[in-house]
This record gives sequence, structure tokens and C-alpha cells, in this order.
Amino acid sequence: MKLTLAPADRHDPRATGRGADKPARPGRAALGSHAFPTPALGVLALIALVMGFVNPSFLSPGNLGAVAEQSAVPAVLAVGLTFVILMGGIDLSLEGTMAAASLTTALLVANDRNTMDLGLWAIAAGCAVGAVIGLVAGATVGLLRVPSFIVTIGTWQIGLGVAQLLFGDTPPRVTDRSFRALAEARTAGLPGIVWIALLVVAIGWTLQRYTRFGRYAYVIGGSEETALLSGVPVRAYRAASFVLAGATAGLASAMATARSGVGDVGIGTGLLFTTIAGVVIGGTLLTGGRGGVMHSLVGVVVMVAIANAMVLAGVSSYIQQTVQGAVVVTAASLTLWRARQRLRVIK
Amino acid sequence: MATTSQAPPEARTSDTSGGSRLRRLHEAGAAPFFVLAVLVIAVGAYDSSFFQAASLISLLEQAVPLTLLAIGEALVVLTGRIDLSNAGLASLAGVALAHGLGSLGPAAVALVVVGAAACGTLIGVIHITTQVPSFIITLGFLGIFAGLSLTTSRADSILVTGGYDSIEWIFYRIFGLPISYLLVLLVALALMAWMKALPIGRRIRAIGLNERAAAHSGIRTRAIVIAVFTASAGLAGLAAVFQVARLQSAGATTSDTLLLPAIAAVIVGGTAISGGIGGVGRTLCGALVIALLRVGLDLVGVNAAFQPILYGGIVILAIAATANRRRGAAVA
Repeated sequence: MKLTLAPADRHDPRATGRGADKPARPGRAALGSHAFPTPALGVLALIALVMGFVNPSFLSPGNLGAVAEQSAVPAVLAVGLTFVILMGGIDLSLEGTMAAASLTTALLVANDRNTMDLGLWAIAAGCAVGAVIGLVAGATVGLLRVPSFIVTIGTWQIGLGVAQLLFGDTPPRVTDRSFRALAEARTAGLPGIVWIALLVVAIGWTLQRYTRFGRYAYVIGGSEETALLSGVPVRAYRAASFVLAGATAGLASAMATARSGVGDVGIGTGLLFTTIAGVVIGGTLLTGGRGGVMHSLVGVVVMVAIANAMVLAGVSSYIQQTVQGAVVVTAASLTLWRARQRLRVIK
Repeated sequence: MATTSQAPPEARTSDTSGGSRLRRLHEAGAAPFFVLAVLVIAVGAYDSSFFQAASLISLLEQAVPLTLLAIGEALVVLTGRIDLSNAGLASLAGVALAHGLGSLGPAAVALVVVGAAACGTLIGVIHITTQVPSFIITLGFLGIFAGLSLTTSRADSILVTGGYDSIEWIFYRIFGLPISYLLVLLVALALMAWMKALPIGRRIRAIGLNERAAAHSGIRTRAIVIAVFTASAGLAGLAAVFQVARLQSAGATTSDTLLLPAIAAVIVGGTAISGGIGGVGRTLCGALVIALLRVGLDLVGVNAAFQPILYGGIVILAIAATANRRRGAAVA
């Protein structure tokens, strides 16, 4: 337990401010509340501890930088997904959205397939494609009142199909130097995409804390009925959350494309599990109403660290999806365990 | 989904006007048959060679794994839940079967089906005891199955050499009829008879219509939900047997792409995603519609990339058209 306290101490000033009415143990009050992703930080510390014995190179600056770089794309995905999940929905379309956005971006920057050269504006186009796919899902969920998991399975396939159409026969190879530099050039020791991810997380945190959209997300997730009766335009906000998730998926896809240098239909393969597992293990409830962007960031870093540690420990990388699936089941079961009741109907 | 709707389903008003016969036909599941007939005629009009026995039989044979997955999915959807893991489980079962056939022979088939059903029991038990929504549990298990089949197959497709003769007969034909589809019909008819003759059919529907009321009427809702997930997974294992028999090989992701078509088949067949309405027979029909769409699109020469777009669109539109938009019921 000592280990879990260590990283939290740094944040003590904030915790003291919030738990002012409990003067006895302000630090512990903050840790016990759900405002802070304590369990996820504990897991992170545990991984670091174990890996310190198994393979000390895990904690080397070079590897920590690699973990940060690998976390950048799923962290951006997680920011958008967090708002959807906070409202009690889910977006399973991330991989399809990323596929469509990746091809769009790769075909709009300088590449070896056509003569387009929009430069960095192609990233905005990728976001727009993601936002449109998100809008399809959001409008269907919000206006037609259809469960989001099934709608987003549909938009997943639609995104994949669009990507295959754009893909044609040969993969578009990115030749734009400035676009590739996003992933390759380093500022203060970290690649540009890490800084973009941090910026997105900061924006997401501001949205969650200081805007109506963010506050209503908790209200809607906590109780949709109450939100409706209080006059919150639930459908519009819910649709907006899917648009945001689509746009962040588009941005994440542009970042991943900058890393790989090729427009790829399979660019998001496996990221759905990393992101959902990260959001869940961060402590955001899949039924909505609790959690946040920072929780998801910590959760995603945990998932990437697990994957990284498994590679360093010599475990087959094929088994990673199994671990992530098990994490989804376990973390969801643990976080929802206390809500169990007799005769409760859960579908 | 994760939310409870306590309002009872609206009582169906049995009006005696002229529309009542149409409505009765609709409730018996006539719509998917109608769609199927229109599609058959349309494809046949475009290319009259479609009506030759050979192409019809190959259509039926292609539809076999999809139909089995769709029937299992329909049972789960009837209780208002969903199983996102069955296609992934079919891939894993296929890999396991390809490994086991050589040494175990026919026993491997039984082992794989029973093992798959056991996986379904596990899913059902976890879903029931933790009370986590089924789509999350099955999504997690989709990841678990995908990782396991990648690991056991080392991301390579496995050619079945020894023991193939014990399943090869499935794709023989007797009197020109495909044994494989006859077996699927047998399974479907058995399930339909089972649902019709035994109380379990009504109980499954009762759970889908109003689970709380069903529980208060003494129906063992939890046992039935577990049974339904077991059946779905068992049918996924059976689908894997048919896949291996057809392809004589198994890959880590062979059946994964059938997830959305199977769900689409259930919905196109007229089973309500909110549960309670629908059945096995119309799902059989929905699966044929989806299989026919695939063949028809190929015949017309549509780019294969449009197929996922079409399935996605069909699922969204079909659900939007049939969804129960009761006021106040929370949908997330």
C-alpha cells in the first residue's frame, strides 16, 4: 500500500483543497474517493516494482520514453471515449474510424498515389472524417434511441469499408517530411505526438471540468432520467460525445499514420481493446457517471506498460489481446461488484 | 442495455380491422421471407443461371457457418442480451479442432463443441454473478479468444491433414442435396421444436419482454440466461466444425468477420434487439438474406469494399426501424 501512496503525495495540495471539510486525513480522503485513479496508479507502481526485478531495463529512460510514445495514440483515443463512457454509452467503432481517417490523411498529404499536398491540414481532414462517422453513430443513438454498442459496430464496419474503398490496390506511402516529423522529430527528448497527446489530454480535462458538456456528462451518466427531468438536452449532448470520440479517433489515426508512414486499413488493430481496457482499469465506470480523462490517461499508460513489460519479459506478443480482454472482464467486474443487488436486471 | 426498463411492454391491441391479417402475418415473421423472395427474384432476374441447382446449393453451403452463428446469437438476443464473442470463439474452436483432429479423430469434434459450450457457460456465469452488461463481458471474451487463437495457431493457418476424413463427409451431397445444410436445418428444427413444445421457449421470450416480471413469476431467469449463452457458444463450436470441414484448414481469424453478418442476420430476420420478439426460424431466413446479399453483390460486380458498409448500414437501419422507443426508457 505504501507504493500506491507515493505518487499521490505529489498531488496533495489539490487533494487538500477539495477535501477541506474533512481536515483529519485530507490525503487519504482524496485517495479513497473516486476523484483519483488510485487503483490504477497502484497497478502501475506494481508493474514498475516487478519489472525492476525481472528486467531492470524497463525503468531505463529510453524505455520509459518508448512507453510514452506508445501511449500517445491510445491516450488520444481514450480522451474522446471517456466522454462517451461517462454518459453510459460505448464506442466500438474506433478501429473502423481510424482506418477511414488514416487513408484520408495519407491521401491528402504528399504521397506516392496522387498529387495532393495539404500538409498538416490533412490532420484536420482526418479529424473531420472521424467526426462525421461519429456523427452518424451519435445521431442514430441520440435521435433514434438505439443502443450505442450495436450502432457503433455498424459504423465500425462502415469505416472499414470506406477505408478499403480508398485503399484500392496499393498502400499510399507518405512522402511529406513535415508530417512524418510529427512522430520522428523530438522536442525536449520526446516525439511530437507525445506532446500532441498531452495537449489533447489537457483540453479534455478542461472540457470535463470547466464546461457544461463535461459537467452534464456526469449528470447523464449518473442518471439519464434525472438529467431529462432537469431539462438537460440529453440527446444532443450524447450525440456530441460520439462526434468528439470520432474526432479524437481521427486525430489519433493521423498520429499513428505519421508514425508508420503508410495509410493502412489495419492501423487501429488491437487499439480498441487497449483503449477500452485502459478506460476501465482507470476507474471510469462502464455504466457511466464516474471517472474522467485523467483516470483514462493513467489506465492507458497501465495497459501500454503491461504490453511493454510482457515484451521485455519475453512473453509472446500474441497473448496480449488475451491479457487485455481479461483486464476488461476483471476490471469491469471489480468496479461494478458493489452495485450488485438481488433481482437486478442487467442486460 | 445497462439500464432497467420497468414499464411493462404495451399490450398488443388485437384490432379487428382489415389490417389484422397483415399484422398477424407480420408477427409470424413474414417480412424476412418476403425480403428473401424479392432478393431471390432480383438476383435471378439479373443472372438467370442463379436458378441452376449448382449455384443454389453452393449458396446454401456458404451460408452454413453464418446460419449457425446467427441462430445462437438469436437465442441470446431473445433474452435482450448480446454475444459479441461467438465469432471469435468459432475461430478459436476451429484452430483447436485443426490441432486435435490428427491425434483424436472424431472425438476431437465432440471435444471442441463441448469445450466451446463450456466457454459459453463461463461467460453466462460471469455475466450473471457480476451483473456486468453482457456486451462488456462478451467483448472482453472476444479479446481473450482472439489472443488465444493467435497464440495457439502462431498467427498462421493450419492445414488439416490427419483425420480430415472424419469431418470431410459433411460437405458431401446426397441425392444432390448438401448434407451440411440439411444438418443445419436439423439443428434449427430441433431448436424450434424445443422452443415450441417445452416451456423454455416461452420462458426465454418472457425474460426478453420483462425480466423482472419473469423472475417474480418463478422463472429461473439466471439459469436460463446461462443456458442461452451456453447454447450460443456450443453452436459457435459447431460452426467451427463446419468451417474446418469446408476449408480443410483453420486460421486465427477465419470466422471473425462473421460477427457483424451474424448480428445482421438476426436483426434482418426480425428478432428485436431489445428481446422477447423473434425466433429461430426467421433467423434461418435472415441468414439466407445476408448470404444471398453477398452472392448477389458479387454477381452484380459491386466492389467488395462496399460489403462491410452495406452490412453496417443494414444493421443501423434495421435496428432503427424496429427499436422499441418507449418514452422514458433509457438508452445508452
